[in-house]
Amino acid sequence: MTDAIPRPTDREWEDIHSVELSFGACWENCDSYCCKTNHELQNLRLMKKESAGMVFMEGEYAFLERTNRLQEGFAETARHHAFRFDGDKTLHFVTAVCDLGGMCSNPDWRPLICKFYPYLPHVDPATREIDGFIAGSALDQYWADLGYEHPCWLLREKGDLVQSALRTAQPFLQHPYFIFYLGAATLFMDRVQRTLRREHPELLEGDPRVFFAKWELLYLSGALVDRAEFTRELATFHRSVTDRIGEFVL
Amino acid sequence: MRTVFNRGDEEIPDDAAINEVVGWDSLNHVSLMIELEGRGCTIDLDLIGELTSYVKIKDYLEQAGVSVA
Repeated sequence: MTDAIPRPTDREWEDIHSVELSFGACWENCDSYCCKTNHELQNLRLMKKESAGMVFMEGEYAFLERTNRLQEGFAETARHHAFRFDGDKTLHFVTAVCDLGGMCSNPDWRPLICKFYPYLPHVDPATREIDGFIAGSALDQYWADLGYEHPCWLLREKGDLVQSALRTAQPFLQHPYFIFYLGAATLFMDRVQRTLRREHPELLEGDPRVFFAKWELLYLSGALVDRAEFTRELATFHRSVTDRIGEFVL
Repeated sequence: MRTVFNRGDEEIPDDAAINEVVGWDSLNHVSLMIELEGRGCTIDLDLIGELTSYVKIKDYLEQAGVSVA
């Protein structure tokens, strides 16, 4: 039996972080919408309004931490999560709260979820090519349903350009660790969205303030993700990665 | 609350509220609600959004007749 492919090296993290994903002062057009949760139509009661929730692959957080590249406040709010699936496998991720409101303390090393925003790429494990994009934030999946234009100016005006730039990251997203974690994010976001549409379609037809207030409670309480079904999907996707690329360290 | 937020008594004042105390963020708020349910409280979805301060939680527990040390 061959050894499992180790987690990405610091060099691999540096490579993916080095991809040029900067599009000017886009925040001047939206008051840093993606860095806060204070949009006037988002009546959120639990999430901190002047802040943004961060999600890291655990390997990314560890890389930024050991190379002293974390943004201010991340270390104080970081929380490590472990999600067991397929028996003995565990998906590790880290969440943190960013209170910087768009003023990154270390912009070159802002989290990948920020660099990739307003999208997250999905990489096909068979071809190792980017085969699609999902919304970069769980909150962002409903604007069209609610009848409002997306608050992100970058998505509205330069969405195609951003996707083209993200495709240049493809050579650095070949590691199965990246493919799996991005795929896991896609499965999760898709499940959240599908459950919401199936079980609470009336919310999408009403006042956005009511929608977001309710969505927040449903999302945070875990009501939008059937854990058993998500676990099965994750196991299937994990096998599709290992079958094509080989076992790897999660 | 001390356990969920991993804080000492002095760090959770009587006027504490979500996002104003280190450790009391949205994720830990849900953990707190789950903890209260485990101790006999009935916490429905809307209540999770209402019980956002120490005073509100204390009042709710008193009304519900739940003693939480």
